[in-house]
Amino acid sequence: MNFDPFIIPFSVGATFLFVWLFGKLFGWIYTLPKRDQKKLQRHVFSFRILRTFGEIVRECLLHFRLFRINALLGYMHASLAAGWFLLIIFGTVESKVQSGKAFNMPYDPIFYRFFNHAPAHTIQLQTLSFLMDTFLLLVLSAVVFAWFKRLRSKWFGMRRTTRQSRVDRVALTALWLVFPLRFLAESATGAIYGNGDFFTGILGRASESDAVFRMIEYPAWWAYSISLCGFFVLLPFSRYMHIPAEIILVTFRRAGIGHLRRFSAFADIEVESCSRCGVCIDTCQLQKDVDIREVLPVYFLRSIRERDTNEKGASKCLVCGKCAQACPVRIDVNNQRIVQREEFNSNKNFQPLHFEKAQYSGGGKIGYYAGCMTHLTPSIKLAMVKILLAAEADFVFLDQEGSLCCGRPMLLAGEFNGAAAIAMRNEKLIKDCGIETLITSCPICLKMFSEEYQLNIPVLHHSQYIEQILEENKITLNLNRSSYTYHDPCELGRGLGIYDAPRSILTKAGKLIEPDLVRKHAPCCGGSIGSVNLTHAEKKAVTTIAIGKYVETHADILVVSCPLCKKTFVGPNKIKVMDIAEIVADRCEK
Amino acid sequence: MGKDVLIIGGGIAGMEASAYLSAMGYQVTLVEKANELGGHLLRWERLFPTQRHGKEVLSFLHCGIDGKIRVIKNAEPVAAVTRDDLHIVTLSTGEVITANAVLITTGYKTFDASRKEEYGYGIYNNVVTSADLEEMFSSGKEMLTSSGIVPRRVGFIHCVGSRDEKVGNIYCSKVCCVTAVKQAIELKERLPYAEAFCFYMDLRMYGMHFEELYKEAQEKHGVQFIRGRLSEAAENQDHSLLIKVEDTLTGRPLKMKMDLLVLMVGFEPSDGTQKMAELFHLETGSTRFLKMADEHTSTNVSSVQGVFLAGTCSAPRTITSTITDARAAAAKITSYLSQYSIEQREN
Repeated sequence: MNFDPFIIPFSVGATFLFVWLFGKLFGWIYTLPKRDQKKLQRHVFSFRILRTFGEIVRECLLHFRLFRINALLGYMHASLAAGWFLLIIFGTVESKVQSGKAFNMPYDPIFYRFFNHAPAHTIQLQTLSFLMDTFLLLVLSAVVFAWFKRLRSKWFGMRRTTRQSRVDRVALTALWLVFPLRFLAESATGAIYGNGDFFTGILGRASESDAVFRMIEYPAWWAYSISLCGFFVLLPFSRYMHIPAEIILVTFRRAGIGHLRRFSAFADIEVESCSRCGVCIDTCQLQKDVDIREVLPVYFLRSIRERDTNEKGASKCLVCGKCAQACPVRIDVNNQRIVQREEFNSNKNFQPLHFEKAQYSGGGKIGYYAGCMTHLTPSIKLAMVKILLAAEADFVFLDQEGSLCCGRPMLLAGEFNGAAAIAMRNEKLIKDCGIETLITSCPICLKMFSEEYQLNIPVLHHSQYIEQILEENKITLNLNRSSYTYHDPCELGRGLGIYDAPRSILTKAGKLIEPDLVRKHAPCCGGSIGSVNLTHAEKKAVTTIAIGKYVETHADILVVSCPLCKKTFVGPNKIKVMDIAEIVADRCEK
Repeated sequence: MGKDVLIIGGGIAGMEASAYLSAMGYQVTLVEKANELGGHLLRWERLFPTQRHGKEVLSFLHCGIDGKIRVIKNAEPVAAVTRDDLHIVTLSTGEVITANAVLITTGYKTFDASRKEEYGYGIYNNVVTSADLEEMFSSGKEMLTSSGIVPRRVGFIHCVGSRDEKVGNIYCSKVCCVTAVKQAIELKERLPYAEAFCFYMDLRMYGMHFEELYKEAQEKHGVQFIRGRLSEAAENQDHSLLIKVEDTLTGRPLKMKMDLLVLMVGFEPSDGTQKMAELFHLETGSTRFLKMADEHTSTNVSSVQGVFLAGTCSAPRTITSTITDARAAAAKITSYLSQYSIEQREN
């Protein structure tokens, strides 16, 4: 058995880490609802787990999504993660081949060169030795890039980077030391015994005498072990917890487990999976336009993890979802946010008043539901009625006399009981009308109907319906010379993935000029109901900057497909703002 | 003396300041972009709180200036430079005017009510603004709705575009409360069988006799006052309006049918005022009105030397207060041009 006292720090650290991680994993699985435990079980013992492995390799090791954001950023993470992983795998193989035994001490591969002075004598060992040096070089290149990123984050596609906490900085230092120290230790041993390969042999070949190496060899192996120990002990308390957590997150997510309406094991895994890479920072309009940093997912998730959330971080956010779509780990930041909001609610058992008064009218195959916001922008609902009449649709205006709220504003505010009560009542009112298709002008309602209601009938946004009737030639548009630019509403675009229907309509109506940021990168108008307590001045600052980008296109009309976006953008602007339904109604011929 | 004063904007403030400055011996040039002097006063039929005719006040203002000053109509400044305390202003007509002092009296515009889309202005025919109603009154025609019937129920909506952070106007426009009371009375006088409702946040009857007028509206004319802001208006089949309001005194939501809805539109700095701010590099406050050098002691003084302010370009004002302010500006300009020692006082 190979032994030297310097393996003790490493062994202690590694043992601690494994015990901690298994405890954590057990806790997560234990607190899952029964339903989710079954889902997990079924997933793990099915062939679908292979696809999960595939995703783990792609995202946790190779970091494909980061490559898509920026090649340098992707290379840095991929070479560190995959390089280290390969070092462990091939190191294990190397130590087993060398010893000729299937079982050896777990630390053998870590300190292999120290215990095995003989140069590789078989072709297998020579190959392995060469590969190990290659992987070490790969990892060290990642460390060099990581240092460089501190100086020039812009080269890595990031304008701003995360301000790391103290424990993160100490863990980072330990991590950065591990591989240079390993290189030093292996090079020293390599110089003395001539067992270094092309990379770890460099120092030995460069110097004639090995006196220096004899002096530094032993301390270097100690330092290497201590830095590993430091990293392992700090890992569960630092951002490096994302390494194991993300693997579990991918598995859980693939098993079909998601957020609950409280802080759940899944939410906790997401929080621990945040690597604080800071990719979200540049996407946040509140950070860019009004300098509110508490809302930034990287800090907000950290505050959840430290059980130290603040109201500003939870409530000011627009819930636009731009950060979530940028997140390489795909953390569902919006749901994290609204779950945390519940804590800050003063009125958890709110019961809506005046329920009994809402009445919808039935008597048609298609039900048109304007929604509260569309009632506040009546030109949109008048346009929709005109279009439905032109298409000779068998329709009924469900909430002509006024609508019950869909419940989403309360849901977004974390008032889950009130939201559920409203949704239940509204769902019944809609079902009682006996319609076969539901069309709404409000993406907020649409999101709620699609995700929280069980209506069992197709639910369409009016842009989808208009696209349909245009294709069926129920109405035609007379093309004119107007030029349009289009704003993707958060709930319709990022929220529901409806990007093409409005664009297909607009290209039929005139010329569409796209601004710089479109589709999932489109800005929030600033009027989002997602924000509980953003001030008017802050909203206005966001709106002014957002609309500026559309004004720059020099289009005649800024087209939106959300009554709230319209309401937010309308004002003393240099561009006219209209809903897509108004464009079609103005232009439609039977 | 023979010093020149250029006054930009021939409304109430511009006319009254011209009268005083010319009486004090200055060469006054008054520039007006329309082809008639009088500004908003041309559109107000009767004035609160006395119900006297706007025309009477207008002819009073004309008496002060007609034949005494130079009036340039259909013109507006397009460029301005300052050289040795002289303001050299180029007009859209091409004429260049040199003045020792400039007085900005470009005033206000009424809030564009279509920005509150939920109130239906520009969408539903029977939603009008207070300015539209005034024109209906002064036209002398019979009061009818768009469907040609005599309105039975008329709602006056206070604070449209005022005290409303959502549209970016946090200030009170001062005149709308009492204008609504005045217009409700006028309506009742014309249509005694119609019901009039005022929907208010709180009533600001701060002027002398305003409260009397409010009492008269309730006691003599039966105008009903409901505390609550309009949430939305929808149109019925017969083109009447269904409005949703919360009665905040009883805490209950109301749905009411109205034949005519009058939106009491507030003040915003006029386009001319905004343009002058750019041209003369004048500071504007958070409300976008021109900034006074001091809210207490230098209300007529702008942020640029030799450029003065009067009337509603610096804040919402009543006609009375605008006239007073114009005279104060005339005194301030005289003091500045005569280099009185009181000019040395610090704010």
